[in-house]
Amino acid sequence: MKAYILTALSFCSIPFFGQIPKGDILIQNGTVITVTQGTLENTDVLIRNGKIKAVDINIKVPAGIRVFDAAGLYVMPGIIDAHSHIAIDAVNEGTHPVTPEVHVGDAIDPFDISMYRALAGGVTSIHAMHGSANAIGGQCQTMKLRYGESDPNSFVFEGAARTIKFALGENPMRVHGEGRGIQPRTRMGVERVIRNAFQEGKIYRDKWRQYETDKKKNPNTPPPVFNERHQTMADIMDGKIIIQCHSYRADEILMLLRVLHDFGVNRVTFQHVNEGFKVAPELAKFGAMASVFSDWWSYKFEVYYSTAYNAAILVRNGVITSINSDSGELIRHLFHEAAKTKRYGQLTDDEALALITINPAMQLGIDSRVGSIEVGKDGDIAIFENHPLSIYTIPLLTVVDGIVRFDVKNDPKDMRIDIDPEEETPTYYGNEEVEGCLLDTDLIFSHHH
Amino acid sequence: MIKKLQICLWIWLLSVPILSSQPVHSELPQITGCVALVNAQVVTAPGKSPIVANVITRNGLITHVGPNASIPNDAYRIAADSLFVYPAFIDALSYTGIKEQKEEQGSGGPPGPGNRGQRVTVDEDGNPTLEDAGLTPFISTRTTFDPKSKSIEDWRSQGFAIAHVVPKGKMIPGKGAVVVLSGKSTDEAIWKEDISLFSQWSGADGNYPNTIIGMIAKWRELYNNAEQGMKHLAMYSEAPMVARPQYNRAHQALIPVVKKEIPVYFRAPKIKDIFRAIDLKNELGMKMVISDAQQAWSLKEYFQQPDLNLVLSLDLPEDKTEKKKPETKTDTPANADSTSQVSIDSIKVDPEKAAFEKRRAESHKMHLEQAGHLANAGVPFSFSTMSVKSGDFSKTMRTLLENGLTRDQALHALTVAPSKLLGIDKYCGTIETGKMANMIVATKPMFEEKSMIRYMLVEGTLFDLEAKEKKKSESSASSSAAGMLGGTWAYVIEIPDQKREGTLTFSVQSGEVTGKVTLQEYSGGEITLVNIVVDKNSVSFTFPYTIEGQEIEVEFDINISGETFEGTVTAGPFGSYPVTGDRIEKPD
Amino acid sequence: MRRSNISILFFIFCITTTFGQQVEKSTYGVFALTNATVETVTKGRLEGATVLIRDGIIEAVGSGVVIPADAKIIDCKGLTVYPGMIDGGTTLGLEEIGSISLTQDFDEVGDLTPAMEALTAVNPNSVLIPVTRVSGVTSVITAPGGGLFPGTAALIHLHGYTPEQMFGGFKAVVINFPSSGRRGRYDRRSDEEVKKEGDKAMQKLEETWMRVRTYAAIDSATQGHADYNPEIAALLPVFKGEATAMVEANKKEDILAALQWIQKNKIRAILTGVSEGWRVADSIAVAGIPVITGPVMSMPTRDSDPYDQAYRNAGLMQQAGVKVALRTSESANVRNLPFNAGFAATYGMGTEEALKAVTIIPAEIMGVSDQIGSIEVGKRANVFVSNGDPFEPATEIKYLFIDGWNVPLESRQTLLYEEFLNREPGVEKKGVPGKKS
Repeated sequence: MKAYILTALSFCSIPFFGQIPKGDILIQNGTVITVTQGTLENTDVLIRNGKIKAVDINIKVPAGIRVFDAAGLYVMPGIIDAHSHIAIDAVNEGTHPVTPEVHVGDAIDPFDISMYRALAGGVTSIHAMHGSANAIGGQCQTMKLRYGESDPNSFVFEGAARTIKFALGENPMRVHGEGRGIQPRTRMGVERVIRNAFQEGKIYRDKWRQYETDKKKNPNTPPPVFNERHQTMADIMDGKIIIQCHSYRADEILMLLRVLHDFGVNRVTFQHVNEGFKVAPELAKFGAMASVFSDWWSYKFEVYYSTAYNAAILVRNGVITSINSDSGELIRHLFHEAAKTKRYGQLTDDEALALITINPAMQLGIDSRVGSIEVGKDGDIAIFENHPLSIYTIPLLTVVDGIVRFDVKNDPKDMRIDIDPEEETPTYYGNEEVEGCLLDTDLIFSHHH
Repeated sequence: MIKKLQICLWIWLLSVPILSSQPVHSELPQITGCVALVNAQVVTAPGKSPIVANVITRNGLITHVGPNASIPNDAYRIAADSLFVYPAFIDALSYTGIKEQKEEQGSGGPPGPGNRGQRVTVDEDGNPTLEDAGLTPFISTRTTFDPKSKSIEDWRSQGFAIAHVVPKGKMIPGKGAVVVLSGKSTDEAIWKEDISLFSQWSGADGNYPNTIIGMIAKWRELYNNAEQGMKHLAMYSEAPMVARPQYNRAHQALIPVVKKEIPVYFRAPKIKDIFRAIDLKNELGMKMVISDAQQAWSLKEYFQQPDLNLVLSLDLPEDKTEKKKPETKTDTPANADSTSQVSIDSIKVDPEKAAFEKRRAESHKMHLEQAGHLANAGVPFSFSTMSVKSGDFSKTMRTLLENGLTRDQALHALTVAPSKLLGIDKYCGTIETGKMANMIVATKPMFEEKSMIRYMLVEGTLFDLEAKEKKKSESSASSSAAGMLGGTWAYVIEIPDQKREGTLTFSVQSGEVTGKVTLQEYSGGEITLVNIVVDKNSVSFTFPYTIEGQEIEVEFDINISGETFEGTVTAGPFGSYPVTGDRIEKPD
Repeated sequence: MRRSNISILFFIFCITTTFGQQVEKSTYGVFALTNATVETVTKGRLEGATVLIRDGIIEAVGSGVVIPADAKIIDCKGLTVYPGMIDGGTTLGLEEIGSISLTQDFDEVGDLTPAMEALTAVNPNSVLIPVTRVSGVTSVITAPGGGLFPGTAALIHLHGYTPEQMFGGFKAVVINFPSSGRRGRYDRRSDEEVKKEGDKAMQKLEETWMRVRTYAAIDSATQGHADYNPEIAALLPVFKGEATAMVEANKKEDILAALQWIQKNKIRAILTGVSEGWRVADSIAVAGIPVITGPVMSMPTRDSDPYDQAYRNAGLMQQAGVKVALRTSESANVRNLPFNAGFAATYGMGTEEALKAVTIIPAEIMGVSDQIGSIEVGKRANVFVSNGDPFEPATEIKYLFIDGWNVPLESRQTLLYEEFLNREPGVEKKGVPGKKS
């Protein structure tokens, strides 16, 4: 069997310009959990050139194709993590409370071992996000876990919607208000900072519109000074970017809904949104979506009044909801995080699995491509030993664009690619973690959590 | 006594640098502007076989090359019968001659609560000043260039006559200059000014842009506004009714980059740095030279595209396997017996460690083979010196030659390739009539281990390097210290009614002595020795140790004779005791 | 005036009583869990059995148990009775809100604070405790952290209104064995700093132990009249082998050094953390030192490690012959202990051994296996009843008993669920002027 993943930087020439490899595979006789169209027993899934070509019983084996026997196994769409900070070398440009011009897609790290570990948890796509240091953070990057490629461009989920991080509450207040002595230091300030940014974006957009008009009359009209910060705000107002807003408390969620309403913005997913359950009817009415933790709480005051039933309450109130990781560890068992909604709110299997497949796909604007097993969608598949919602399940095979990126039976123990030529023994790291959302702010702000 | 010994140490330690900072490259008095290398083995260009010829220079130029070139009467003659002459090297990117900048205290970072006074300057737009942000494309190399800098002499002694020198700084430190490594004044040294822009992925430490994402966004902003500002300026100069342009110094200074008049030398050591720089080039459209690269070996196809060139770093990873030799000795039982303190664990071959070592060694080899690999693949490249010490240059070159780079390829990367890259190939890079008189005169063929540079000619100025050679052999005194002290010693301290035992380990590298001590009573591992003073056979040093909750300084004063030593140990207020020791392991 | 005061009082009284009626309290007495499958852990699995609880103690277990007349009968048909799960390492009760230091009571100032008693600072009314126990976790070790000797940990049962009511009869002095490794991925110290700090801590540990030795000698020579020195005195029982030390070590080299130190000083110890235990499992087994490891659901310690190594660690040690208990190292999410055990089970340990690792094994390690850890006659009635395997997320916990108290399965999280599942009012509020109702 061919090992698809190069586990070292070799002399092999890297093809010019992020060409994305696509593959073929036939998965036979599995229990196929399509998520959107029910669960099919003893069914085959055929992937040709990276796309799902057929989902049927007894598909004829095309010549020369890899066949995977999934008899007794569970086949589900590749898991999508709507909130991650892996595979990027920078998370927060925490030097200003408004930084919509920065883009974590510029910082893709093709060698992050976390990607392989996520693949080994059945994850195929991630939403790599800017952190929550700034009220308006940077643009995020939806990625496919094509671990083994070297060109950062190869990881970009081509055609995914543009997304941007906003952050309310304690984090921007601490980093800027407490840490740097500038606004925002309160939730009042957070609203003001966001309103100002939208308003300035509007003025900037008007300047350019004026310039376009004037130029027709007088070709010697000089253009306004270019400012991507304002331009990005204009793009949000023009509906070109989905807001992904770090938020916890009910009041701040409502605040942002009001602000967005005032500026005519309607595409928003609230991230974490621990108190989303308190304003679920308002979220549903606005059409806002929610991406939550399965059970994280009490790590700071604004998540003290949380409940692990958050996802269930949101789902039952008609809010499109996903469960995310925000962690290099949780991303490895999102299937298990989703399973907790069976304990906390008794969601059905399909409802629980939708939280990590089709729902996050909708939130990221990639639901026409991934999130369910349907003909025509991308060949992103995760195969499990037991039902993915069981504690006893083990991810066995993960396929991205028809290419096997993780195979438990062909799993070299050491999956690093870029090996430090001077490091004798790989470094030991203890368990101490920094809140993912505040990475890279240590220069500005040295507290953790 | 300590003081006195310390002074001795200083003298001893400093002896090497002090001597070498004397004018060992005694520049000959300019009695004549004409030099004749007579009967030398001349390699006129990379790829050419040596010919026996005379080379005549006058007023900084090569006037004649050939077996029959007649020697003018006013020439300073050098009988070069046994000597080899090569075109001098050109450094494609360096800090040679740049003054060391002191890191400003408290710059960057700030500031949590209670530290607000030092908060970074944030103007109305939230942007720090261009200087704080490290965005100074308007700075020329000239402003921080020191023609008296020792680095100029150091690199010249390694065979370099020309260097492309850039300022130090953060993301965009400034513009580079071509420098001749001989001038007495900045004006004499700087040949071509502002021929490049230097950039690197180096954030502004707590200021915007702090991270890679901020830096890339900032590059876009600067470039786009430079482009726009350029157009605006053009309009402004033509039509009277146009508002005055409001673009800043950084934008103005980037206009030559936008116009593709000068390339951006982007320092990008690792493969991710390279990808990010190339992406920026492709997005914005500047000319770019990927510079100081350590991991470009798999990007051959990328360097086929126009306006993209490559400068490789001479910074090679250290080979950790060399250091491990003492450990491998323990594999043979005979040796294991002779070394007293080998634990059973270290004799066992750890399969996990072996697997790690295999992968590390593969990666290491890849770094070493990069230059040879790219040369064989036909990717043109030069070398940069900005990340290495001049003293390591010849060893590095030999390492590259041992790993697949041919001599001709190496010479090409140090002469013709950089001259083309810098647009000075009309003037230098080869030994031809009419070119600048930049030549290396060496005792043996270039890059051979025993090859010494006897003379350097830089724009016709002759530097005699023989003196340095002599001093070098003197400075090998340090290796005798290594012989005397180096290795591991077992010691015994005689305290009434008890003995304290342990080991001392010393190593001597480029004149610097370092050491460590272990104590039998103490399982915390090795403690680093400080204040090591060596005077002939007497050695003293101290280390901190906690007894009864009190941190004291333990001081050793010992005399070494051959493989044993004796002396005293003073443990702060606890008194002095005799100590003896034996060498149990010599350095390899 | 007086009248209105009375009516206000009456009004308030009404509210409190109404509110009071809503709070479900624990009940005590005689309980017969009948028709149950009983997972005794130590004596196999019984079908159609009864567990009889009286006065806080398991009075009878088996199929032929006569149900006394005073027993409240709980029909457990289709349900399984398990011994309450024990988390071998938490900060539960010592930590309320992660980012607010004034709600954190586990890290006292100083490196040498072994006299700090976790039990003193346990908040019996922490909101985190009911959230934890509804998952079937009935007991935890709650431990101080930070510094070389952070304090004395205690076993608590998760029911009671005073620390004394909660105390489970086991304490241990925590020792953070000096580490030669990085604390985490974002530990930005240089290699030299890491080493230097590790060496310094080791020196301090040795030095401290030397003083304890001296203090012990003086103490015995003076018949207990050594100078007042609470820090050193707190270490005396450990030195004498009368008390247990929980020695935290995770990196391979640190574990080996800790084993050596424990053996050299003849200390009665439990190794905790032990995240690289799989690398030296044989050495730990030979030393015969028990281990409390976890969280199971964590990242491998090195980039070069197999992706599932942290999941496998507990099982690999157990199979090498080490006595292994599990912990979450959590406060807010100790409720995930069964899932951590489930992962250990899935990745090599097996369900049976994993269940032991959160019941009888920690009880044995702490020397309280005569009281908790299994369903046996005479033990404390710490049990829960579920509709299936408690490691499975879909399983529901139906009943929970701690010390024979039937504890309602209610926490602030369940109350919020009940309040907000169908929020009233919804989007529109009736009676607000100007709003459509």
